[in-house]
Amino acid sequence: MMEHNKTEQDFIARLTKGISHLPDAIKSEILEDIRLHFTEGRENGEDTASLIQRLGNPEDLAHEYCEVNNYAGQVAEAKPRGPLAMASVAIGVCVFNLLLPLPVFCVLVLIWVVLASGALISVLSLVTTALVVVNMITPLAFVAVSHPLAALFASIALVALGLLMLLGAIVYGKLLMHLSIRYIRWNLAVISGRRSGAC
Amino acid sequence: MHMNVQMKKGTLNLCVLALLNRKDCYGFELASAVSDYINIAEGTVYPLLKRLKDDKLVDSYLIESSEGPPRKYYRLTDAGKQEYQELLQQWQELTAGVLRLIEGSEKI
Repeated sequence: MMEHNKTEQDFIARLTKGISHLPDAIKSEILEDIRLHFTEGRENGEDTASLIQRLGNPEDLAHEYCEVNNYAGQVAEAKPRGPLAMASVAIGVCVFNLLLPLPVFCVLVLIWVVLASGALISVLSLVTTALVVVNMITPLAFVAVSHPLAALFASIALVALGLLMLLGAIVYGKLLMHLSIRYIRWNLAVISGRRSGAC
Repeated sequence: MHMNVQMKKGTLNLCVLALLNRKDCYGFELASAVSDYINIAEGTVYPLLKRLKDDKLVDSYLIESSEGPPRKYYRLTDAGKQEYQELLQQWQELTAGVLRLIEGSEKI
């Protein structure tokens, strides 16, 4: 009996964790229903281990409750937020953005600028490589290189580095843009009140 | 073998409404009655019951039990009975059509 209570408590604890973000009234209704299931099952001659096995995974059960609650939440939030409420939420969001996300965004953009500058080096290095090659064939008056081969390898290495940075700048730029768009959409959803539950 | 999730979600609703249309049931009774017929995790019945209650298709009442705490019975509301009849008709049309298709009694 003690063992049974322990496993039932474990099931309830895992379910409670999965639905922890739901409103208290809904949470207690859910837990009451599942506790009743255990009591009713035992009254019908079932043992706790079999009841747990047949109930399924508590995390899956929590997830299904979240789906139901999100659905209900969306129905409840169908009313649009009033202009005054929307304005006050917008001010709150703006202040928050100025304090934390904006400085972080500036740093991220700075990193992109550095990478993009690297890409520029790549283009310039191509020019120097070309100059070194031309100088090896027909020495130019304005390019004085003591070790033409060393200069050639150095400029090729610079081109490779620049290309790597170009690749990095493209991938990083796309990621930054994607995240920025998502963040802006989230901000708009919060302001208009269309944001659904946390499941 | 557990049923395909989408198929399960579509049919579980109808199964619960059908059982409640027959008689009022308490949670365990309903969950085990459904799992006698289809292979599902019995817990799935409870979130569905919650949604049906939110949609006012089902309501619940308590009856004192001599063996323990009061039992919570679920019953169909008038809207629930109407929903059941509509779903039943859709289901019968769907299954008849799908069976005809699978058996290939009609040419494409």
